Amino acid sequence: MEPIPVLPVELTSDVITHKSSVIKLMAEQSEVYLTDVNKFFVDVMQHEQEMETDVLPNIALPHSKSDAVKTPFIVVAKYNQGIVWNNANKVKLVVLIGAPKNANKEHLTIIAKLAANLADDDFIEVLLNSDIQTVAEKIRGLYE
Amino acid sequence: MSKESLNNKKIVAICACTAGMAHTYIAKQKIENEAKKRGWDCKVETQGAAGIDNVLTEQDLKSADVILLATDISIDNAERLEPFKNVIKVSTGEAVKNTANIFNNAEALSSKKEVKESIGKEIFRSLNTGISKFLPVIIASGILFSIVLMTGHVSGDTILPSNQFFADLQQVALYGFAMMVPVLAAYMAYSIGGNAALAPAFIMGYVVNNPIGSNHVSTGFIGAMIFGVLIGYFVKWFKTVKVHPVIASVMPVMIIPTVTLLIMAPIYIYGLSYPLDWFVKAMVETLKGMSEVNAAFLGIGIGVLAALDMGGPCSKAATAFTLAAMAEGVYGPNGVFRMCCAIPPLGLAISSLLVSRSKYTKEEKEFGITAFFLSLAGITEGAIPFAAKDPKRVIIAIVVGTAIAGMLGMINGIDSLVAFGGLVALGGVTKGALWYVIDMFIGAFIIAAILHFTRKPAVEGDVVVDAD
Repeated sequence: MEPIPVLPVELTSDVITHKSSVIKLMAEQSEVYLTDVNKFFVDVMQHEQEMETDVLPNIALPHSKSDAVKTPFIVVAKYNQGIVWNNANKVKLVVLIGAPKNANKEHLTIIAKLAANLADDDFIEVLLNSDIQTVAEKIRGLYE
Repeated sequence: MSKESLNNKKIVAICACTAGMAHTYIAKQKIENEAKKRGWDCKVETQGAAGIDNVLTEQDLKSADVILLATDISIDNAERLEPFKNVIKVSTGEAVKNTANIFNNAEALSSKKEVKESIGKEIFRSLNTGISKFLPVIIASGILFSIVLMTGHVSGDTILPSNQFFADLQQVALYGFAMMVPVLAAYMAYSIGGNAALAPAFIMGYVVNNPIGSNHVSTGFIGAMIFGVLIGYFVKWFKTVKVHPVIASVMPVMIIPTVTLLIMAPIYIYGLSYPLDWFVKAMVETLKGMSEVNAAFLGIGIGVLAALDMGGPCSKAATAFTLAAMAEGVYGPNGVFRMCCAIPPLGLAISSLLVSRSKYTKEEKEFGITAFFLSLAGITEGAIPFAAKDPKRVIIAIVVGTAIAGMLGMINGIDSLVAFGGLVALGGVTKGALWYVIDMFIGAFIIAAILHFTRKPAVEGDVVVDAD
């Protein structure tokens, strides 16, 4: 089985005005894993309507099981001044997860493991204090 | 010996979110971490995209001080939670953000757990469980039966299926109807006594619904409800009896069902069947007495009995009376009774779906659709889910509405040759067919009108209780 790739994305200040522009940029950067960037973006935003994904301190976890995804992937992006997510809540780190509709159990178990690790406030603290390349490595490190 | 040192609190949880990828697993971890921090025992089931993991068993649920549902969607196998009151329901998001608060609530709830649920509430819940399991049995059978009646033709005093296929279908439906009383008894007992109560209650449900003993008594629904409850409590007590470990392993599969039957069957056959049977017969006598006063009075009597217990012994008494009248060539009471059978579910369908929509929850509106279809075949049981939730208002409304319709029916002179009810049996109505329909709807609209004024607005509630 192929390991799930973790992609770091650099944010520049002109895209951080709204969460949708962040998600859009992250989706575009993940083009190789997608059949349709726009469809994936729409699916993620759709899921954002259903669920709050900023339930952890300073982190947002937008995600979708979408048929626009070829293989599972994770993209991370960070902006220390904060990105406005839901209502007034700001997040510093965004972890976007994509999985195909028929994703296999091993991949989903890895994603579940990442989620479980994010329940640990110390781990979050480490991620928040690392640069984006290190964040990607730390997440890869959870299952490699 | 101090109690705290031995008995850790135990929390069990089920997590499920919409995508099943992230929230479910973060919530699980948060709950486990918090439990560890507080020294609680903990087990968390996840229903996610990766499948269902770490399934909570009946034993887990029973031994838990608190059951936490951290869910955003309806979960698989939710029925197993029905018997439990110590449930806290939150979204996965709340479980992640406010884990500590939720545990504080859980702690408060678990200390309240010592307060025993009142027997009245337990029996009421057992009735609800029984009804929820037996409704699909009647619905499926009732719909098959309606199809047969609608495609059949009237001959003599019955509706004949139009060909062998429909005759077979009718047989399937009749066997299905034969299942509903055993299913009711079984799941009422299950709700109180757990799995071990299922087998003896299924068998006793079948026993009470069929002639038995030297007098060939059968007591149907009322017998099933009484023995569902009795068996439930008996098994609940039986499970607490301390036995040798070798025997303990065969308790639920062998000892409990066998002993329960050996005790319950004689109680029924030689004891309770007599008063129950007497009750049914007394009702028949009363109706005979009413028919001697005058027709309108008889119509009221038939209406009251048809509606009062929605297919129970009172309805059965009315059936016995009208069949006896038919044997003497009098078809009026049968016609009126068959019309009356359809009125309570029809009235509740009209009330919940048309007249007072805002006073019913979404779930109750679904019952309304079912009730409508059941009313077509004259299956009064369609009204039971409404009556179970709000007995006082619903029973008063259906008895009044049906009694008035029964009176009108007798005055208008409705004769039916067939022993089936509802609109699908219209083919068997030989006199006053139009009145059959009109009076039926008058009765149903009276029910809807009464409920419109007496019912309180619906409160969308969960089966579970919040901690505060």
